[in-house]
Amino acid sequence: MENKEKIKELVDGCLRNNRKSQEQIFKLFYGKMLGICMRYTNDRDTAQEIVQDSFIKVFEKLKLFDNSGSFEGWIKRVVVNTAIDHIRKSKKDPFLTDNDSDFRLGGVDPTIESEELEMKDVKAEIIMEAIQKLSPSYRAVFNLYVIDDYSHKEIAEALGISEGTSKSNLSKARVNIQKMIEDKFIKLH
Amino acid sequence: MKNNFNNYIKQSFEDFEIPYDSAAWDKLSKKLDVHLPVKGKPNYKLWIAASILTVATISTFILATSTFVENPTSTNSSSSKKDVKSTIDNNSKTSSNAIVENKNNEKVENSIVEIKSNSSPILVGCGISTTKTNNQDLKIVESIITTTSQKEENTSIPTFKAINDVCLGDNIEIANSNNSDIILSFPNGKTTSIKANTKTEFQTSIAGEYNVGYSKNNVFVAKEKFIVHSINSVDFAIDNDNIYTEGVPTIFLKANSNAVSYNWTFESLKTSSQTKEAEVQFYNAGTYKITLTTTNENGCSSSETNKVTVKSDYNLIASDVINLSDENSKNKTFMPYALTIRNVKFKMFIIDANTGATIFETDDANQPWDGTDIRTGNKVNGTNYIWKVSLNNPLPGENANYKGVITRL
Repeated sequence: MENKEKIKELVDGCLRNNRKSQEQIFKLFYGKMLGICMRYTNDRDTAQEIVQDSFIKVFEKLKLFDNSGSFEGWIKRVVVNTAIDHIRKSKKDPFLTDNDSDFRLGGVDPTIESEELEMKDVKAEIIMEAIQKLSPSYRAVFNLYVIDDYSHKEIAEALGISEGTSKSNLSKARVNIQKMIEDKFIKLH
Repeated sequence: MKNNFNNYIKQSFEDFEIPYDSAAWDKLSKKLDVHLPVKGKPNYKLWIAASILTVATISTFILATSTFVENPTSTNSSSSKKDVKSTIDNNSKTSSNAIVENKNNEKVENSIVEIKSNSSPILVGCGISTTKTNNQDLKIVESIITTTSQKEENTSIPTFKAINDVCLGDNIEIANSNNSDIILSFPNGKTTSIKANTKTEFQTSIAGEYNVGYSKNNVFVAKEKFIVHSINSVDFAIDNDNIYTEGVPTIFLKANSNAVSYNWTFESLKTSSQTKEAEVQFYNAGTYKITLTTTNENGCSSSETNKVTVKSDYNLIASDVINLSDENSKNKTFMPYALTIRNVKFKMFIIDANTGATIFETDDANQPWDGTDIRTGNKVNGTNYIWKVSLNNPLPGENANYKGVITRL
């Protein structure tokens, strides 16, 4: 998807505040970025809002992007940061509460590998659903660490929590996700 | 283990994206007009001028391109030129039509926007360079569109048949006649895939909305939905305490759950009741099944069966003794108690157990046998007598004939 030449042309257009170039950039990355936002919220409307805010930032701060790195990676960072901002704004202090009821799914560590073949068609959708069911505090840590490559230190800074909380939320989130994915499959026969 | 899991999750989201929605751009575009307004928007006159210029430059381009296409010695590949040509054709169409009217067509829409960008002051007036920029932009637009349309072709959309709503517990069959797998999503969020060209049948065990669809770019796209309607739980109470009511052995029944309609059925009886509260009579000793079927607002029925035990046969609640010298008039005479309170036509005979002769008969509950042998007009002096009653119109399930012994004390 990301053809450097084309992207560079479009970025140049965007730097000139050309709506057409902005639209094409938006069209190119909208789907992926909305996918990311969907992981950080549990409703599509909020995700859409974050995407909109993110792209405004992208176009406003485009001059800060140096062409050396991946443009998609850069947009992704902006989107993830916007998602974090949004979570921090919407909840007063969601990261300090360790709600035990969020952990009720815990138990035996299930193996994912055995399900992999059957999951090939719907895996992202199912994982998405599971992630969306997590509490906001677990969801943010899980997304940041497992999918968006943040370290516990970075997560702690971004969310204003301790590294310990980050680690503990991650492990609880992981158990919940595993359990939910495992439960997802009903054998019909 | 942990790393496997992390990698697995991460990988599955690598190419995850949600289909494009042009409404999202419209919304963002409006926001950008506030945050990043475009300076010096073209006025109407300039736009007309630009359009004329565009038509002119495009026409020139078509001519040039046509020549290229017809020329087999061209070093460029002819397919890429065709793409460009078709886009330009669209352009030339739009130049003579109202722009808004063509918005439904994606290709045309892109071409229109292209004309608009031409009309921006930055590009207008650049002469030949306008054409060049235009050309480059077109290529990009075209390649994006091509990418999109190829994707759509690769994931051909399976076809789905409508599935009728059912009630919980009903069996349902879903056939997938497509060459690709389809997905069934359950009301509880779980999903399962139905393989290409197979069908699956199962008994519904969860009520709610089911969706059948397919996976597009790893997103579930629901195409057909059906409802598995819930059924009401059925529960009813049996009141068997007041053994006789108005002379008949009545069992009272009451449904404990609300429903749109009720239907009570009884073992060994042809009768049924359709009210929330019902009653039933069993005239012979035994254990009987009572079934209540209720139907809810969705037309879904469910039933519950309970058993009731009747301890003794019904015999018109007749006494088995007569004491002609007793002070209590009820004991001095004989008439089955039920006949005195039931409004029923009957004939009763009293028979001398020793001779078999009928010594009394009546069809009036107010004229009980008072011990008189009507053949002689004298009171009887034996010990054992038999009574027989036949009812003209017995109740449903009731015997027409009853009999018993009377001992004279």
